[in-house]
Amino acid sequence: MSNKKPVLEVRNLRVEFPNRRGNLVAVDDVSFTVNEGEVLGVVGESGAGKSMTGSAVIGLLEPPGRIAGGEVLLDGERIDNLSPEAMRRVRGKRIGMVFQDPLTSLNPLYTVGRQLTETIQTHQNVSDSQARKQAIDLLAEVGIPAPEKRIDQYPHQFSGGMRQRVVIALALCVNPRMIIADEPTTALDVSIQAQIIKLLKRLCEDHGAAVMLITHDMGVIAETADRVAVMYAGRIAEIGPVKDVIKNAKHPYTKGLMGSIPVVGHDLERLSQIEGSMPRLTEIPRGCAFNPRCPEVFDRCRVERPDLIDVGTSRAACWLHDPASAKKTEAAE
Amino acid sequence: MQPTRTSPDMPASSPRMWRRFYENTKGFFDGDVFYSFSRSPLTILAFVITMAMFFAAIFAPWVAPYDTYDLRSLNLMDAYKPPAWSPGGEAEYLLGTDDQGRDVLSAIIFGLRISLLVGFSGVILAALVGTIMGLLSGYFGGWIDAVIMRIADVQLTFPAILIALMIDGIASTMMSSQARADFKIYVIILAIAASLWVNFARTVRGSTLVEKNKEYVQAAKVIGIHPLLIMIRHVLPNVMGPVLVIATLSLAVAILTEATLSFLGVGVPPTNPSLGTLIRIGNDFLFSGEWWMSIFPGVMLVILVLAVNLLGDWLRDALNPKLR
Amino acid sequence: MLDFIVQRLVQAVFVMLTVAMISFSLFQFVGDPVNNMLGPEATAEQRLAARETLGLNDPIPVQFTKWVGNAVQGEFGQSYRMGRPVSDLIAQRLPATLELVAVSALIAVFVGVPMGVYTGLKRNSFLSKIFLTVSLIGISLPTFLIGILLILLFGVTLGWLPTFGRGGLTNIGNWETSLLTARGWSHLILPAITLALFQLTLIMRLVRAEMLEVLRTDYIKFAKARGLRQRSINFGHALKNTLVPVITIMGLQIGALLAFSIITETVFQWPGMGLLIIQAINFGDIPIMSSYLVLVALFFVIINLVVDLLYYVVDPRLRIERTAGAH
Repeated sequence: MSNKKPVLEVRNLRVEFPNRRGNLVAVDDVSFTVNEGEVLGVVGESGAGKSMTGSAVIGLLEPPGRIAGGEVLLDGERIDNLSPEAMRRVRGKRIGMVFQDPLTSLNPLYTVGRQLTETIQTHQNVSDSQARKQAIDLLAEVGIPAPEKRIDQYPHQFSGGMRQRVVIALALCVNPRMIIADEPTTALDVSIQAQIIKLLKRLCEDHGAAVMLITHDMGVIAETADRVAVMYAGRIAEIGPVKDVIKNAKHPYTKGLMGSIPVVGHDLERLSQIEGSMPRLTEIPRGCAFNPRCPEVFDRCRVERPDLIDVGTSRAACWLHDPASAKKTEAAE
Repeated sequence: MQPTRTSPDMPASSPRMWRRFYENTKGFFDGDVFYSFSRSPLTILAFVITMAMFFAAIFAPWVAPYDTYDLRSLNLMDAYKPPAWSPGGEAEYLLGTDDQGRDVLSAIIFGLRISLLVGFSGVILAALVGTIMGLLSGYFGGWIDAVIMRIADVQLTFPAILIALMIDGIASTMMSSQARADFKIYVIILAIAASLWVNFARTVRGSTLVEKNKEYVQAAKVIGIHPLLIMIRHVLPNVMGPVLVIATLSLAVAILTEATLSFLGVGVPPTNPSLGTLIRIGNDFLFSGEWWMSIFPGVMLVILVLAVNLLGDWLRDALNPKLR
Repeated sequence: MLDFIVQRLVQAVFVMLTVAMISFSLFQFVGDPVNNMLGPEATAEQRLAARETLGLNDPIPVQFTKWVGNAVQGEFGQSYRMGRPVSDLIAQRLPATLELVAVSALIAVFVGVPMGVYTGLKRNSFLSKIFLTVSLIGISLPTFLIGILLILLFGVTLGWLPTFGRGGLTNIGNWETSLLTARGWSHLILPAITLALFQLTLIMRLVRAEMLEVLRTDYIKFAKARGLRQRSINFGHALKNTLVPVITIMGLQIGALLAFSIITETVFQWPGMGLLIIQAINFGDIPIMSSYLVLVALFFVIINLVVDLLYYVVDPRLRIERTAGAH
């Protein structure tokens, strides 16, 4: 769709959690790419596997979770099979990550300056004073007033929004190619969310970093992302350009999601909701995982699991868009 | 699964009752706690040992070969007999006899009884006081909380041993030695409870603070139920796990404390010896060669405490899977 | 900073006053001092005279003030049993106990903390499992039994070390120390290990639990996500954060060491405060008991102040007021 180079490519990723009752598949056969300068939104309910995907990409799955299949490529180079030490060098330097809760993401016992310079000096061979200068510049860049003074303060002396700015500065401090932002605004006040999202987007543009933005908030995606992947029960249900996915959703689950966003000027009554809830990973039904809740379900959905099928500019994992089954439904009617 | 109606000629109870029993217990045996128990041989061993000791203690008069309280059965001719397997030992006295001619094995079993009685009483008292204090402290907050927590702080700095010693010292100036001896067992239980209640109080207080602000408590207020009542109904089940863990680990501490106090001579009197008392009595003969008098009660004490500690550790990890 | 210290000092004074009150009531009301001094044969006139000279007819607050005044100057009256000033007896016994407790505390901390860190970081290594098993036995063995077993092994069976009392003492002013000669150490080492072992295992288990707790936090995860070196994460970020709870418990445990020294001193016949108090309790020697109480309280208060100051050094959240208006 674009001629830009892919920064991150994920191919058939499978994440498993072995436990005593067998293998829990948290992420199943997920593939996507993020191109240079692009923001890919990943949405889904909690437990859909979006955070797992992020953790798998950066190599920080909590044991016993593990990558059981597929590949992760950064700038065309495989990173999912690197040694722990090699992967450590990739983290921070080539992929940065922003976590949900800025209040707990920073070490309370060190000044923000120390945390910044430590990160800079881990990845770059620069002097103390140079690292400090870079750190002050970064703080200024993320919009922290009086950075020369604030640099020697401790995290508890910053407000939540300010702390998330520091976290973003930390993720970006050695100009990584790729930023994974896992629910970066969920823990913040609504009034601050928009600022932080705007800041994140602007900085990533300035630093030339691609972004994988994980969130459950369709509104954030609509405003920020270029493309969006909708995840359901460990798989991608639909992926495509944001505008198309929002305006013209192809997967019934996505349609349901869009229906649940309040739009100013519309009657509240018209907010729809999807019946039921996402199945637990231990009880994923046969066929399409969404079939028990799907308003447009038909026989095939209960038997066969759909893969992503090209539908216009998007791709959706839904039999409705398979030419073969489309014929069948017509015949049945 | 809906239980089907049993036909009238069938024994009314059996299938439905069993099914209900099965439905109710399935959760437990299927659950993670039981699973982790069944997978840890050491824990099973600890459980078996603990249970065996409990039963031996409860049924001591029937389990022990001799009644060590029955002075008529004592014969000084039988004193200082080594264990049955060493030269001079007799099969009648498996673990030998003490300086009074008492059978060491029987003395240990009766001693176990006293040790467990004191330990359990102390822990139950501590759990009761601690839970109530924690609830009050967490629920009311303010100065009540401040006072209780300050007392807890000061309490923590005075270990059970010091408290018991001080009470005993005061008692020694005010009571006859007979009254003092009768009184000692209660002093020990009280001292143990006094040093252990703080852990319970802190845990329950923490949990109460969390629950206090939840909506159901606010809702209870609105519909006119006293919120404290609601709290007790909801907080108590929530803290049962941690309280059980603390109680188990506290039992180990309590048994050790009792043994230590008895060893120092401030514990339960020699007429009614606990494991600690036995070790103290035996200690006088340790260096003259009659090692069995102190070593066997010592081994029994360590095995008991180790088993209880193992159970406590396992319980803590099983109820808090994050730590595994 | 100053506020904090003043606040803590006020609290300390409050605790001391409370303990002094308990101690005073012990002294004044539990044992009848007149009876104890004059014996049961004294006449009623002698008793009255003694009451007058001892100031027992003064109002209670006056007596208390006098008592506190004396106590501050180290004057706690005469031991009933030994007929010597309590302050002399204590001054004579104090060095033995302080040395024992200090050496034990050092052993417990400098062995316990590294073992805890190791078992926290290498959770599944073989050595960790051995440490954990040993520690479980450690907390299941009562101190007096450890003492007895060590005496049996090193004193009786092997004959390597003396099993009771102090030895090889050197005088520094009024302070008799065993730390300056090899013989002094040979007497000290068994009691010190006995006293340290229980605390050591406790500290180890605590540090391990805290370490596991901290390693799960978001800031450690974020530190990993920034590609910091494992060493720096473990020792720079994680260890430092475990220090706050560990310092608290260690402060309390040093208090417990003082209590447990009574047992160790009994087992090893170590001529310290512990032996003194045990004898006092058996004979109902109230002046010694009440002064011991005050001394122990003083000790705890000092330890707690040191702990509070250490918090200050470790945790910036206490050091700096929250910036006003920030969120």
